[in-house]
Amino acid sequence: MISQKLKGILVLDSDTRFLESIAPTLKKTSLLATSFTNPLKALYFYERHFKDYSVVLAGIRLPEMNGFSFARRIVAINPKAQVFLLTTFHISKTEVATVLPSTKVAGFVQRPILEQTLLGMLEV
Amino acid sequence: MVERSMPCEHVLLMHDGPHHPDRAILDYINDALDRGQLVVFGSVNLNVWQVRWLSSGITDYENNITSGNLLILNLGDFYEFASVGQLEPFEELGVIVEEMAKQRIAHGKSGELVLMGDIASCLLRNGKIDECILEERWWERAHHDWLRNGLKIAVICMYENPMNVRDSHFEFDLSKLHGLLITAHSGQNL
Repeated sequence: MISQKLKGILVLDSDTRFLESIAPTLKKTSLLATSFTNPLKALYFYERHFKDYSVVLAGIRLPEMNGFSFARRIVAINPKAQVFLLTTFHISKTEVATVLPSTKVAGFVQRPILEQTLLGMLEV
Repeated sequence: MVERSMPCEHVLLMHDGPHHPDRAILDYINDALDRGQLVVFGSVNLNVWQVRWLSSGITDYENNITSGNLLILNLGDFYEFASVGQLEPFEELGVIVEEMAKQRIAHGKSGELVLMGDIASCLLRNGKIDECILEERWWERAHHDWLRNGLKIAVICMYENPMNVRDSHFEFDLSKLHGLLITAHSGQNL
């Protein structure tokens, strides 16, 4: 069940194929979903619409800045935002929490992202 | 006394393998921790025995883990990708490593890191010579970029001795890709 509190999800990744691949799943959630390939454009958008997007999903390798910097800027705009970073390998938040103490993320999500994983992220 | 690597080198460390883990590896880790460096130790086949060996040989192991000075990683996923020549996860790992250095500096700690791993050695042991060279080239390039950007990150590639490769070109390529070659035998560094 998708949380009633969640209004929308903002997805940022430089890989357009990834954005296309999760589009059908996002559609199933009936949530407002907006995708970007450029972090600066995503931030510009988020500053104006953060109240509509409580979950942010972003790649680690991005143009202009990395996913960690992007996450910090998202949380600076909206401290309640839940930011998940996408990785191609398994990594747990608790595993790296001590070596990345300034990381403002809710968790890491491994690619390819499964439908049930994505839906799980959006559950209450 | 082990002659340890300087902070910023790409090192090929030959050791006696998992059944005869030499003291040199632990010396490198302890020395780096003493210098206030962050040590990331990764192994393709990380197991309980290996963790026990590390935890008993590394000074103040638990405290270094909880203080964020030491990270032990399972490199199984990376090996799987590297074995088919896919290095995208390494690019992401590179971003994470840079982020670790930057965050440490921001928290008033040393921004120096020591990365130790055995992926290339495992590739070689499984006959994946081209993939091994490809992966080593990636590290060499990453290491070069880090140096150029002022990041003090040492990369130590742990290889089991002997390599058993009858390919002089391979050995030449491999040595060319490292700034320092060290051979350690049964607890002693030569």
